Amino acid sequence: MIIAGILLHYRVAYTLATFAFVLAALLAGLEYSGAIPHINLEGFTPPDLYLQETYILGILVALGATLFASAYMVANISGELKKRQREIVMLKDSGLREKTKDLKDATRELYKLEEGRGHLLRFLGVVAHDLKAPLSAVQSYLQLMVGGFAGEMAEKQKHMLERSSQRITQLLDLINDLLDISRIEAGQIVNELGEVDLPQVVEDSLEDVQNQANIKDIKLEVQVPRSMPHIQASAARLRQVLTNLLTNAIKYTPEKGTIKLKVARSGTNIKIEVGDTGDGITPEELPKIFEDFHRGIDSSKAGTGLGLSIARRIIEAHGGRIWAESPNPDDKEGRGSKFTFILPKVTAIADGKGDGWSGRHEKVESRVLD
Amino acid sequence: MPEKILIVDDDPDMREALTIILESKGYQIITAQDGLEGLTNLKAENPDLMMLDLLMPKMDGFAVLKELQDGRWSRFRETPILILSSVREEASRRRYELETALKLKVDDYVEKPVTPGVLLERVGKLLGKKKVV
Repeated sequence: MIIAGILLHYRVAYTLATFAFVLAALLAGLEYSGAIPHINLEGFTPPDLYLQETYILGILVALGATLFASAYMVANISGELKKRQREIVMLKDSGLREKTKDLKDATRELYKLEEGRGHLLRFLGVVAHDLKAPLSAVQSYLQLMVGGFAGEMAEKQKHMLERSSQRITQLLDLINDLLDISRIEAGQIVNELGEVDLPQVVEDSLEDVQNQANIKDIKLEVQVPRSMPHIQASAARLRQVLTNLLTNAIKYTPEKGTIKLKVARSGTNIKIEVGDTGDGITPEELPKIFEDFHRGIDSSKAGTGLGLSIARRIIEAHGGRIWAESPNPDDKEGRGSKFTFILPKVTAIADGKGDGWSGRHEKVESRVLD
Repeated sequence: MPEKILIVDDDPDMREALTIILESKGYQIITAQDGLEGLTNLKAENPDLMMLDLLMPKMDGFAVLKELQDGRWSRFRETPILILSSVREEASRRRYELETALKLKVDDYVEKPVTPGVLLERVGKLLGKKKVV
């Protein structure tokens, strides 16, 4: 009965109980009426018990009660258990469906974001062109007038035109910087990644600033390993950062000063340092220099104030870090500042020279102006 | 015989400014305001140098460069091209190299706004190279 109550539907269990009871009653009745012979279990019970009505009735009642009671209890209990089981399965099911829906929603959002990013970059491209084209036209005309291409110019006129031209240049620089920031923030650098030869980037940056250094008779000392593994980065952007650091160093270093550029390996990272012997940075300013629009105390030194913040964004977009120290710890006389940036987890692409990185190949070059 | 220069740029002020600079040095100037007109004039006039703006409506500089790689224009393969650009160098260079599968050399390129001195130097260099060939 108990087994039936667990395994079978409760109605079936009750039916079985009823059936068992009817069978027992039938057997007792048949034995009583003498239809079937009664077999006496010797010594178990008195031999003519099966003929006593009250006894038979009592037994039948007790049997019936037990059968139905046990059927009821077990069916109920197992019914409860089955119900709980169904509830748990339903909960799990709906939980799973919810998670799948969340995943689908998230994927859709991602596609939308990627599309949005594409739109934004295209939009910025159009903005760039439309802002700069009229300014370029104005600047060209101003240059022509100043250059005498539109006839003789009075001193006063020439002066005003030159000032105007300078202001337009400032505006163009600012527009370039703002567009740069927008592009970097929109993830543009991801599109620019490629195999980069660092010594070449250094070479290009030095070329960018050679003139400025010459004008101030400043010595550029370069320490770059001759053979370096190629890294995954944006060559143009790294050049942008280096040129910016070198330009600043030149700007804030007095004539005949020295600027040292060093590229070295630092664990699995690459460390690049630009140190100068110039004015240095005050402790109050030091934490702020990488902020947007921060300009040096000396406002006579022109600039948009965005150079270092752009450099910071570029290095951070490469997963690196950039910082400054002042005074320059490498300077014996405690002058100047040193800017360092790290490019992390360099995925070195084999340069075919075997170990690809040999300290033995370090070359120290001093570039002095003639 | 003065050298002939074709200027292809959609900005009329730019065309005028460039014309003034170049004519002052005795060059003969033809202009075009978009890629289509530029190609037409290239065929008709056979200039010694073509100055090409990259961003123009109807047919831009990239499309022109791509078109010129086709066999139909083989006659003009030796014609030096000076590229004018008004967006920051790198974005244009990347797109140029992508679309034409050529490496953009620094001498072939000048960024707007152009200083008269720089422009004349570039033009002189490119024309000088052609003469040697």
